[in-house]
Amino acid sequence: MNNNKGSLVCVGPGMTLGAHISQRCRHHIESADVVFTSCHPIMEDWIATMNPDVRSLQGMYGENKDRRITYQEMHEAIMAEIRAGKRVVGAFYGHPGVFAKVPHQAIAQARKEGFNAHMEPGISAEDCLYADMGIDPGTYGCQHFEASQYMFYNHIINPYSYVILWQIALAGDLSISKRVSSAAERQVLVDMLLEHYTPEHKVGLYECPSLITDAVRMDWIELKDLATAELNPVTTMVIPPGKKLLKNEQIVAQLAAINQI
Amino acid sequence: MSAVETLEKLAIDVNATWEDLTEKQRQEIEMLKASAKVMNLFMTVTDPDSPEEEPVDAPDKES
Repeated sequence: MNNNKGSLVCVGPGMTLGAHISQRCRHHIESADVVFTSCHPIMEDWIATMNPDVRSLQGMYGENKDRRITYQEMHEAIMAEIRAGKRVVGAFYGHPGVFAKVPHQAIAQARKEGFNAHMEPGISAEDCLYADMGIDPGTYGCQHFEASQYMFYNHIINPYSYVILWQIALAGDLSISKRVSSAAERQVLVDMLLEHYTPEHKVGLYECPSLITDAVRMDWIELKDLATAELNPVTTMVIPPGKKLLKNEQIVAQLAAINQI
Repeated sequence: MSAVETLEKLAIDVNATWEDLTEKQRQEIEMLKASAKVMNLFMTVTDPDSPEEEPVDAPDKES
């Protein structure tokens, strides 16, 4: 273990200011020498009331700037303070480890260099989605993909289960620098999904509010209309099952034979 | 109480509503929202030229 007392804890204050933060998360923030944040700006203002040294990472994003560069800059800013012997906390909106590269990479690098580093769970957009939309991922199963990853690589969709596509507003962006992709790029996604679902299949567009005063967005549209739907960076797409579960007669029979049912 | 503190209190108190706030508190919240910068949300990226590293069998968990 490194004798330098630097350390890192990545925490998640949740999605909605005040509503989701755990006591441990707040105490980590309060106890830190320095806190890095990447959250809604008003949530960052709120976190700034909990510690005298709170530094936003949001300024590292830039118009048309490759986000890989942004994430590397975030990583280096965090690592610099750990190496300086600071007790560092990274507060990332929602859950720090869900669809968030920087927290995982910073923890891995810190540990590699001999520092104590770990992650605490937070309430993610997924958790809010289940509650707001009345979805139990256990009912039919649930797959999650980053929308562009689904498009760029050979993922296999299970149309018998829920499918949730994250960062849907960016679907198909090869530049890794846009805020939203184009209707033409999204149509490519629609065409891929039409291999598994009908054009009239209802899909949900979900947005969890950052402030308790704002409304949840839950809009249902037909899949064929996705390319021109209003999508925001915060939108998550929910695709309900398109096919009914089919019993696996062979396996059930095999299990019944074991238990002589 | 600042607008941020009002928002926190509203989020915690399940019996409180927007209608319980004074006009001044509501205005302060609206002003705070209007002045807030746009959030940059995307915290992950899929590189079309470089797939993720192979998944490991035993994730590096600190004991």
